[in-house]
Amino acid sequence: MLDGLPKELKEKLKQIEQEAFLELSSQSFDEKSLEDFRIRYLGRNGKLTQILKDIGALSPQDRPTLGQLANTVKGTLTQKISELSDTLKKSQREKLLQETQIDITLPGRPSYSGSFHPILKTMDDIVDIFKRYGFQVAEGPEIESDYYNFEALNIPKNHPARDMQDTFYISEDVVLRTHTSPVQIRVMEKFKPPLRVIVPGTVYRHDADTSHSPMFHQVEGLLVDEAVSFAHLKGILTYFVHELFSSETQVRFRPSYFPFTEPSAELDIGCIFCLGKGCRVCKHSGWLEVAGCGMVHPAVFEAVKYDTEKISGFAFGMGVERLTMLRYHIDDIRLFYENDLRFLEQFS
Amino acid sequence: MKLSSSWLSRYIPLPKNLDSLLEKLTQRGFEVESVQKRNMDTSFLRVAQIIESKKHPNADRLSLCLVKTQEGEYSIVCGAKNYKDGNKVVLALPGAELKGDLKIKESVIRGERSQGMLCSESELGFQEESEGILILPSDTLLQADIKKVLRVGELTCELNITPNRPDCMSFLGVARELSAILRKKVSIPRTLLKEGKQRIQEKVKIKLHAPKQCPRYRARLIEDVKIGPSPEWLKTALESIGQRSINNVVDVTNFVLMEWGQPLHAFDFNKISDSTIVVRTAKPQEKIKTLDGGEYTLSSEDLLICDSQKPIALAGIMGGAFSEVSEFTTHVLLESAYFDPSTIRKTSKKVGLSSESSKRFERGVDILGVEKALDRAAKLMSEVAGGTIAKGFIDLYPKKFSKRVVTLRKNRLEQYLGYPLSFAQVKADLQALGFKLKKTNALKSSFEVPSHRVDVSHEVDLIEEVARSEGYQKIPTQELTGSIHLEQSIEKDTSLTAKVKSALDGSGLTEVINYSFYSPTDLEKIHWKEKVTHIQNPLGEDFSVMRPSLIPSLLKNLKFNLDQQRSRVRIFELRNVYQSKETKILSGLISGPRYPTHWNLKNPEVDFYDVKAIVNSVLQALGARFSDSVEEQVPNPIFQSNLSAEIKEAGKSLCRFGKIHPQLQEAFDLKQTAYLFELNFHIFEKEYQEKEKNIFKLLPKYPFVKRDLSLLIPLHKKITHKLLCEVFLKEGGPLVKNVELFDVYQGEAIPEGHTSYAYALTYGSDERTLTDVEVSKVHENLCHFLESKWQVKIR
Repeated sequence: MLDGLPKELKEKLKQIEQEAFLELSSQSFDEKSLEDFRIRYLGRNGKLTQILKDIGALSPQDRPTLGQLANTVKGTLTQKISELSDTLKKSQREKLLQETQIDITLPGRPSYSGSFHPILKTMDDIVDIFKRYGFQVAEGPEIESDYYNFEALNIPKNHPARDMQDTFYISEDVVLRTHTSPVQIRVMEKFKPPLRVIVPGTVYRHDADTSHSPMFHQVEGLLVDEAVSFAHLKGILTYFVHELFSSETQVRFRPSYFPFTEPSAELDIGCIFCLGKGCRVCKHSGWLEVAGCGMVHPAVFEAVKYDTEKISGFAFGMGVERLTMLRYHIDDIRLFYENDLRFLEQFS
Repeated sequence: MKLSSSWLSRYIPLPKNLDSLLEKLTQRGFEVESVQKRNMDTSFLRVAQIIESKKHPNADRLSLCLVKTQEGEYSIVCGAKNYKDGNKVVLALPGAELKGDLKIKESVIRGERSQGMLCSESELGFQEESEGILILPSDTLLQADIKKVLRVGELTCELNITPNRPDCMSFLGVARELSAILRKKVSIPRTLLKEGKQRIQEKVKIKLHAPKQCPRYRARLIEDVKIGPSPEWLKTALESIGQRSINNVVDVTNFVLMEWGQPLHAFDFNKISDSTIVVRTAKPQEKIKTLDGGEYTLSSEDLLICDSQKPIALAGIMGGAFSEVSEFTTHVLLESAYFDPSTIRKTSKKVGLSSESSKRFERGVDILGVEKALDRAAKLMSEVAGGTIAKGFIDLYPKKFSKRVVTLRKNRLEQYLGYPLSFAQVKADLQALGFKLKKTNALKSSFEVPSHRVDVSHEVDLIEEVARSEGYQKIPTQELTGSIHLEQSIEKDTSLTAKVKSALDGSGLTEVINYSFYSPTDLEKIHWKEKVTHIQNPLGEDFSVMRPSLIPSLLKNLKFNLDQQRSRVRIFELRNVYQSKETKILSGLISGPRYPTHWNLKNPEVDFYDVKAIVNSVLQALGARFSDSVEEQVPNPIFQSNLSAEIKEAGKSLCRFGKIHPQLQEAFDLKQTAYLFELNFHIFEKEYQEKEKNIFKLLPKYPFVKRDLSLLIPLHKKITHKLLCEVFLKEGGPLVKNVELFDVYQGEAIPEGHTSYAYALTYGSDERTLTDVEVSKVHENLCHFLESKWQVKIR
């Protein structure tokens, strides 16, 4: 029952629809022309918008039918535009992604971190292992009295054992400590047993060649308690070797002599280079000496007024340079003190 | 101590497998340092004599030798130079296989026929390296058994004898240890003598004036000896341990020294004035010439052996030149003594003379072994050099040796070693080592210590003997138990070091370690004026001072690395230095480009603010709060004063940093400058307290407002960033929440004599959102203050 006006509008609507879809199918759009197109039909003064306004002016009977029709056209057109726009955006993004080309093999910006000296790194690692068993860190002076360095450790003046440690003298009674053992005495003078102490430090001996440095580093350990035995000493040092090297590493204790321990032992580990077969590094013995140790000599306890009948203890000392050389397969001790950054930076 | 199997087997039968025996010695505390074995196929080896040698016609370095053996003559091309015509050598004939898969064939070398090779010690496998060919003793016979000549089958080894075991510095001592291992008896050489009729006392007088330094002096006289070469067995024995034969009398003293560990001395008796020996301490400044040609000035601590007129030996160390046995000697006075170990050691150290004798005396010889060794030597001397042993001996031995008895408790032993032991086995172990069981019950036993075991006096010494005998491998491995007393504050806060090092690591610095020794010139370079610690016996003048500062070390490290074509150097050292006290210092150095080379980084050279950044991060790690710290420039020979700063707190210098003085750059020959910092680490260590606990602060609830402020500052006014910050906070009041400096500029558009500082100030309140008007009021007040009070222009 459409009269002239609605009919005309309907025709117009159909025409616009046809026109619009023809344009959509025959033309290729970019973002801008698509927006123009949208404005032309759906903008505030767009052709379709205009029609919708006209439809609004129709009589209530005519409005719904034509309105529905117009909305369908608008809906289809809007969807079509949004589809087209999506496609356009996608291809645009694709194009953009294609365009951004870099040389991914160029180096990234450098990090600025430094490195710790391999000796001190090893020293820290050693100390950490013993800390797990409740050992506490103690330190002492490097310029030490003859008393602490020798006498209190059962090495009186003119004792042949002094030959084992060639000494730098500051004066007749003051030396550069030849080992970290004087700290044992200093700690025992101040504290009562039970004690578990680990002493990292710098020590000095009067010799220098390819395998000896006049200055080097030691870590000393001391444990004093009731009923401490050599078996405990073996236990903790075996654990230590397994932690620092590997649980496969062989361990051997053999008798030796230190004036401040009795019984005394050297701790050898199976040569990590030849695995015990015999090579130049282990002098074909299959073993490498890594630490000295033993039960604290009663004379040492007497010097610090501990009751030798009530307590016992063990002590051990190891050269950090040697352990570091073994760990990193370094063959020349002098590299540690040259401070060549090409060497040191390998340990960052 | 060098040992040979042939000599050792005189005292104890050795098993076939010597390797496992040596292993056992190591397990008992006698480390085998090196082993040499003379194992070789000798079927193509011959003793040969060089008849004549001449230059190889076609090669400058080679010679042509004509040699003869028992079987015939051979022509040999030889590369060595160490022989003369007539020398006895070892010839390897074609077919011989020598060390290193060397197969000998007849060949033509540069046109000359060579029918074999003259062997060196290394080719025979005796030495790792050797020079020239092996020259045999001249009396070696061509028909001699080559196996004997080369001592085939012999094993020599070097044992490391620890200072507590002088008793094992001898073949008999080692044999005693082996006897305990092998549980076989030691055959001790017989010392029964055939003496002459005349008593020694009628011919010799001995006076002992120093019984403390010489607790025992014993002597025998052997008359009418004939000095000459030693017999073959004696030469071979000495040679087997690398000693040269001298003559029969001297060789005997050396042989007995090695056999018994008792040093002996043979005097030419005819040269002893008044036939009198006086044992006394030296007079001040008294001199002696020893037989090695040295002359020594002595003091009253040193012990001398003299005749009625003059010193004839430096007791226990070396004989005098004058009384030395020579080819004309006919009567020999033989000394066997026990000298006080520390007396011998003191003198030996003082004069810098150490001998096989002194090494034994200073560790302690067997005071009862003195007599047996003397008799053994006298007997051998009369056998190899003829002569008559005068009847008896002189023995000055005022204070007799008293035997030590040591008790071993079973429970102590087991507690020490950590496992149960059979006491019967323990007793057997100790007895095998020569300890005599005196008393015993189930709980304890007492043992008499043999006189040669100078190292045993405590129960723990016996425990070690048992542990050694049973083997350390029998001791179980036991996990630590027992109590840990952490309340004793032994431990210093080591975490402080770790924190600082981690901060430095983060700043890209590499840790170095330098020797603690400086040369005096290092100190001159840094104009060090304060007291330093000198080493009495340095390795050299260049290592004679304990370093009071780390700076010269770091500058030398810089130089070293610049010379390795490194331009970017960032290093630090955290170590003790030795000023009036030993104290810990942290020093660091940066030089060269700021960053590692990178294609997309502007990379300027480091400057003052780089070193300052490092110092800041270190101080932050140390938890230092610097409420009243002062930064100021310091005149200093190390730093350039206008480009350096010092941080002080409560008058104490905590840290200095800045650019090195050009003088220093020149003194250390550096091709580029550097920035240094130096921090008194010990102050932080001492006063460090855990930072007040980090307690979470509420995040701001209300929005903040940022206002930029660009200031034109007249340079002559000395208005610093620090002062400005103080003004912002003080004049701005509590609403100023943050101050950020985002630009410092001098140059175009800035009038001369001015610098522009641009700040972003953040305003805010914890109670409400600030209005624009509020913020503007505060901001304008600030500007007004700066303009009116400080003549700072706002841009």
